[in-house]
Amino acid sequence: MPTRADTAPLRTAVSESLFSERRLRAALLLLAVLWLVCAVVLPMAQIAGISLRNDHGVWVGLANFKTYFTNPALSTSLWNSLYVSAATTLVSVPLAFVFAYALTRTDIPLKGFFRGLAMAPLFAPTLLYGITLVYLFGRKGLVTTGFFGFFSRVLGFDPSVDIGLYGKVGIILSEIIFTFPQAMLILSIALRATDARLYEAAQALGASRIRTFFTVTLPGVKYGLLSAVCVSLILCFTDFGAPKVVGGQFNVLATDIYKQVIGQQNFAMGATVSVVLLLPTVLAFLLDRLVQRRQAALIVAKSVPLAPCAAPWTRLFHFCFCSLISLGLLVFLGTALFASLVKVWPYDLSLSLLHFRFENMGGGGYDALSNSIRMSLYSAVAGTTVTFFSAYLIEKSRGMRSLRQTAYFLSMAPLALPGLVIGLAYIFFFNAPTWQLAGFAIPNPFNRIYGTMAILVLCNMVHFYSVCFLTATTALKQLDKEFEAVSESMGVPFYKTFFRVTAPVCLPAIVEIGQFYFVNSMATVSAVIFLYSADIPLASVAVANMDDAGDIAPAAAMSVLIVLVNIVARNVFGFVSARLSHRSQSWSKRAS
Amino acid sequence: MTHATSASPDHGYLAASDLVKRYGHFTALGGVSFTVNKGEFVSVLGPSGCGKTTILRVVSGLERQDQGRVLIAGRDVSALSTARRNVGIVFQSYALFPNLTAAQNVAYGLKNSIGAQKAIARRVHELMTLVGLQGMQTKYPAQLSGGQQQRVALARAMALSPDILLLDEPLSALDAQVRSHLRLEIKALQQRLGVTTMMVTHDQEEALTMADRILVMDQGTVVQQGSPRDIYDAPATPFVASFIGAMNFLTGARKLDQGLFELGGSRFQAAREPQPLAIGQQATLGIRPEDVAFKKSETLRDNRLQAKVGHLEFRGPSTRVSLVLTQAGPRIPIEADLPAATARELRLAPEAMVQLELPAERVSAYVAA
Repeated sequence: MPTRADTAPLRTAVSESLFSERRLRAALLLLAVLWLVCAVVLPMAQIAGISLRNDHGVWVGLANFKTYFTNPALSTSLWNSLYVSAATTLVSVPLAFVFAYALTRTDIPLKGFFRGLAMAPLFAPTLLYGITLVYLFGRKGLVTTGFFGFFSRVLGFDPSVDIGLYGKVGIILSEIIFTFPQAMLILSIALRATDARLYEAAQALGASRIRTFFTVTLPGVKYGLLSAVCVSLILCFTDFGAPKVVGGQFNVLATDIYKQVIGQQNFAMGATVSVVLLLPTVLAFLLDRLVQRRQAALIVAKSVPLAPCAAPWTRLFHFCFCSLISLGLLVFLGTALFASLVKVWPYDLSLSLLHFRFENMGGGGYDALSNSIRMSLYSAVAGTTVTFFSAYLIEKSRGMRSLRQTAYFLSMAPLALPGLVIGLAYIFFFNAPTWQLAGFAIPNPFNRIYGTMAILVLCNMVHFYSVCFLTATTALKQLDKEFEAVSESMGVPFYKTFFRVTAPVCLPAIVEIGQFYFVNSMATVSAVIFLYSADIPLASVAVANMDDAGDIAPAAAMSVLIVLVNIVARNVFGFVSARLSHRSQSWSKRAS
Repeated sequence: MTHATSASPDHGYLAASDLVKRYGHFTALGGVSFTVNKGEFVSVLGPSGCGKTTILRVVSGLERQDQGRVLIAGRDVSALSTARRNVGIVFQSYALFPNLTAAQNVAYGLKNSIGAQKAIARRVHELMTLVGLQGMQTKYPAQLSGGQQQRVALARAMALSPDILLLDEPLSALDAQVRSHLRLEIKALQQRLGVTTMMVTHDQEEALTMADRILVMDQGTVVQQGSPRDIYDAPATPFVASFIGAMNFLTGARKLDQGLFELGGSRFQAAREPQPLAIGQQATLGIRPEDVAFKKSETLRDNRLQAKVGHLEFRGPSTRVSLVLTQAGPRIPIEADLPAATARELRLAPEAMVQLELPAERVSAYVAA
């Protein structure tokens, strides 16, 4: 028998080697945290710091905020922003709900077409929504002039209406189009996850259809609904493109930041407005996170899929509804295309490619377009690599709990950051030749990338990071969690398994992430408008600048080009995905 | 223990001493020691949450124990990573790489150096033949049946000729028929290769049929170890008795003398007393349902009890009879399993009075709970 001394607690006797895999993983994870700290935490801390100083860098505490809230010219924007966001959400979420319901719970025809069309607005910069509204409802708009007087001339009555586009009406209309696809996406996912047995039980208990809707359907999607509301609120609250075009004298926070910084060079006030913009956004973000966590706990054992409703009246209603929405979107997109092709709206409606020449225009023309494409490509490649690999490290490492949780939280944080705020923060952070830290001046190691393509790519990576990170995490969660253990037991290093198994199996998600980065980088205005330099003009910024200069038709033309590039890109991504799938995903098809 | 036996290398080929593992406040392993001899098939059996999977993960190095150590082939591997312990693992889910063919899965751990291709191909062929999957090399996991996938996982685990083969609930994902077939196959393969094997399972039938020796675990400790027959015949505690097979517990007995008990006025001989009892102490008598015998009504003798039939459950090859003892004070329930032939002969009906015999050599006495 062993003596007592033998059985005394034996801590790890042999020390592990210096370059063990565990250490390598820990180091890489630390690197992931570090990159998020540099790209997210530090710039945000700096913008918060600047909001507490005056223009000369002297500490003034909350004085800027006091100025802001006591100056009605400034603080009305806050209420305007809140008003616009609430009004938009009230319209767009119910519309999105019915649309998503039709696509998921009824068996109407043309579902693919409806879904594709509803997603189309995601391809365009939000500026385009404003521009198109100007063509429809502006002073010389199609509707305002009664189809250029066509009705009064030919039919003898005048249906023209002036809806008073410029101001809140225009903003709300644009934002509805902007938030509709995003809310629709969230709600279709929520509506799809249901259990037919609940409906059978309700039916067996004799509940009416209305009662079933309120006791089964709505409670089942309440988290999705809340999430859609939060996302819709955040999106309108922080959007810059639409208010810039159709806002008129109606000031909102996003345009205020722009005016303070670009117009008045008042950086301190710009930072202050940014913080004001950030607070409700962060609140909505935290609420959404809280709700999401609840929802994860709600998903239980395997449920029975619900057969789509085939009752003729339900089908008819939903089909008409989807058709109407789609018709609206078609008219909208058609108008944009038409306006970009018309010679002189509304006097000479003959078609030409005149506006696509961008001669003597500000904004950079085709150089800007090619820069945008390059930037989007870089963002897609760099963003996908970084996002997927850090999601892998966070999801598939054992131990190191606190490090992984920190990394996870930091990865989700960019979701709460409006593009404008990221852009402004990056000016402060990267433009400063030195950083003041506790009284010391430290040379800024990142200063060199200011005004280059790199900062634009970095900005896009951070701006769209969280959604991609979530996509990657979801895909990784579906892999067997013992892959790493198996490789370890065979002495195969984790990076080999990552390249041979994990990445190939997750290929569809990786392509989706790349596509998301590309499409959004093409369309974004808010984040890059502060950061682009004169040497590197961008297409979406060109739209804003041409619109500013009154060249609305070329602005529409450039927007149409952006949409076209995105449609082409989507097809290329789809093609690449299909090809790669054919080669590397052949395993997923059963032979027999 | 492990130190004393180091003279014979086959004995205690895998030795774990005093393993402790805690997750926060939860103690998964509370000082577990055991040995596995070379070539032996040991099964770790216990209900879910008893710590059996933790043992496997500590032995493999996937989890680091808080205390205690693990020796494989006389080598202290306590602090080594999984990669350096030379163990093969088959997981419950198999964890086959879905994008690699069966052959690529099996070859995954083989060092791919220049000129080794032929050797690898030969080894893979050898392993695939071993598990009976010749000609399946180019199939992807999704194209294989559950049983075939399981065998690929087994071949992959054996590819590097591990010192220890660890099986984590290897059959639980399969349907009943395949499972009983594969049980025999895995056992035969293990014997043919002579690989030292440790299998974690919650299925008593699996443990009984496959293992040379069983470790029964409960709440982070080993409560009994021994051959399947020993454990079934002489369960050390009421927990083991009821977890492996079924057992009747007749409460309210009292110890009269060595091996002699009193219950409801009758005297009982009990062959086993796994837990020491003092004379006069309250005891619980345990007997398995299949050991309960029905006797024609005679005068009561030792080891016999009067009982009333309550409910009959027809189970095909056997019939489960639920009865109530009538002579003991509180009405103690007892169940008996009768082979179909005996049941037909007895023609029992509810409410019938019968006399039961509990054969002395089948009765165990435990400390009253």
